[in-house]
Amino acid sequence: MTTTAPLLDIKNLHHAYGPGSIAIDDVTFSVNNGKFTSIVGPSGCGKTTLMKSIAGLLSFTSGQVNLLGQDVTEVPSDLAMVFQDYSRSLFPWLKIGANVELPLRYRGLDVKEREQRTQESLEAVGLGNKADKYPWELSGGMQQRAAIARALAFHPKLLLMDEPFASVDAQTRADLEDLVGHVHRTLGMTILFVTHDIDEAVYLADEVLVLSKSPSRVVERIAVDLPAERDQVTTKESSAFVTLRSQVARLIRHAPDSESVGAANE
Amino acid sequence: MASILSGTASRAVRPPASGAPKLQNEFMSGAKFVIIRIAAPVILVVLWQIAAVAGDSLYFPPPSEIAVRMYELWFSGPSPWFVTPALVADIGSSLGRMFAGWGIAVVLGVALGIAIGRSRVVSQLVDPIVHFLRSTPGPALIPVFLILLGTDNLMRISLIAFGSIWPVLLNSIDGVRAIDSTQLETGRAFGLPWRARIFRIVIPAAMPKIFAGIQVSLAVALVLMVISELTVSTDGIGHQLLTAQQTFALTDMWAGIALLAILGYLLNLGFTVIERRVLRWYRGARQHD
Ligand SMILES: Nc1ncnc2c1ncn2[C@@H]1O[C@H](COP(=O)(O)OP(=O)(O)O)[C@@H](O)[C@H]1O
Ligand SMILES: [Mg+2]
Repeated sequence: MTTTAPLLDIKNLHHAYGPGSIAIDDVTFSVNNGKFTSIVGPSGCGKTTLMKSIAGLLSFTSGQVNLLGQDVTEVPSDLAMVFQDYSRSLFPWLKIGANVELPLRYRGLDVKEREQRTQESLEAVGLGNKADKYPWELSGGMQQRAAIARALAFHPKLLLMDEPFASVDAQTRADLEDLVGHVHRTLGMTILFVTHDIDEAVYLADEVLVLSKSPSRVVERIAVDLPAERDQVTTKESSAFVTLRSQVARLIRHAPDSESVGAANE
Repeated sequence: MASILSGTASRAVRPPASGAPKLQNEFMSGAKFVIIRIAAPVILVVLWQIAAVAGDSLYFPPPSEIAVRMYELWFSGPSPWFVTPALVADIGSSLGRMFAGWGIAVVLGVALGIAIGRSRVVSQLVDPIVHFLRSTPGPALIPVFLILLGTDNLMRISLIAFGSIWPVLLNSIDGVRAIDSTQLETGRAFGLPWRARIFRIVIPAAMPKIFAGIQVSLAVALVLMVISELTVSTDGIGHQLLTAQQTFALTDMWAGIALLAILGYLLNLGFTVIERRVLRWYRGARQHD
């Protein structure tokens, strides 16, 4: 294996929304190209803040976010995002096809390429015949598929997903997890996936990053050495999976506050 | 008219109708509904006719006479449109000014509304000024506009624009301020340049509110068009009205009023048709909520 620079490199990221309201204390980690990294942590610990910092949507207080060798100071061009709130992230005045196609217009693609990519990615998420529907004509699960299709059509180097399946039902959630896993394996896309569901985090990832309570620090990085091909039933009943999920659960349950993490890191 | 001139138009922000009453409405909107809608004005006109004939007043000619006069004045032209040159002259110059003024109001109102609504600081600065200015009744400014801009079209167009910009401006500010931050962040995250974010996200997202404002401003523009023509003019419907009144041609005067009513109705109808098309997504999205 060659030692190439990581795709994403975050050093001492710190963000406070105001005096005294520190969301992220000190977060450092890196993500290699092609890796699937899950981020778990208690609610309100700063996961969304972290994602927005990476996406260039927020000017963080201090630290460094480096994507593809470039410091993130504005929105990077090789990054796409899937928000938790699909119903507010898809534009209700555009049909599904137009929603997927809109960002492509500003990537220097001609009409044919745009149409082709739109159709391809809609088919990849199983919405090949829904391009002419409005988002609000589709179920929640389908809307989130459309949001994923929009991100895929963008061909990003890094895909950020912030609790993307938190508001769909269990069966849809399992389907969408497998869809994302499939996309990751077949396209080799680097994905940063925030979730508060431990099973989901372990099931999908190459690596799980556990964050402490707010203000957050990285408690632990856990490599997930499960076989690449995963299955909702067999993977989840394997002893390796069960061990990993207990490990993560224990870390979250007994998540130390930042001082003791800091002390442990000394 | 006071209620038209004050307050933001909020028609578009009613809570969504629940399923059951809507279904009932659909039953109502059958033949019964149409008959009721047509019956009321017909009865009114018939009563008016009877009263006018019975009263036999010089000031209140019966509607039949007014209708005949309208036909003679405006609708007895050559086929296929049967429009007389007088109609084209009166309505043409009036509407030309109205659309010019209203158009300026819409474009300026939306542009300023976006600029103001996007910035919290600017909107707080501008808010009191806007509310003060919009409380000034448009017609009260006619003397000022006369002195500054003279008596020609420029003065009338400016008056219409000034008077009808407020509903558009206030509703645009409101609409832009209410845009969901996730929609804006989506646009940024996917690298849309700022122009695209304005034209493809901000304006469409604020469109329901903007349209409500535009519709109110259309009514205001019509009123100001007539008022400006009643003051000083050489053509237009208002001028026709004024001349008729001054020459004691009372049937002509009533015909002018009826023509204005029809015009106002048609303008609003046309606007509603456009609005239904443009905001189809909005109606749909709310029904599916
Ligand atoms: N715009 C904001 N202004 C002030 N505080 C905020 C803002 N957004 C988030 N916070 C606070 O920062 C902390 C982290 O929030 P967030 O990143 O959304 O956490 P998570 O996504 O892990 O639930 C929370 O305590 C939250 O209340
Ligand atoms: Mg969050």
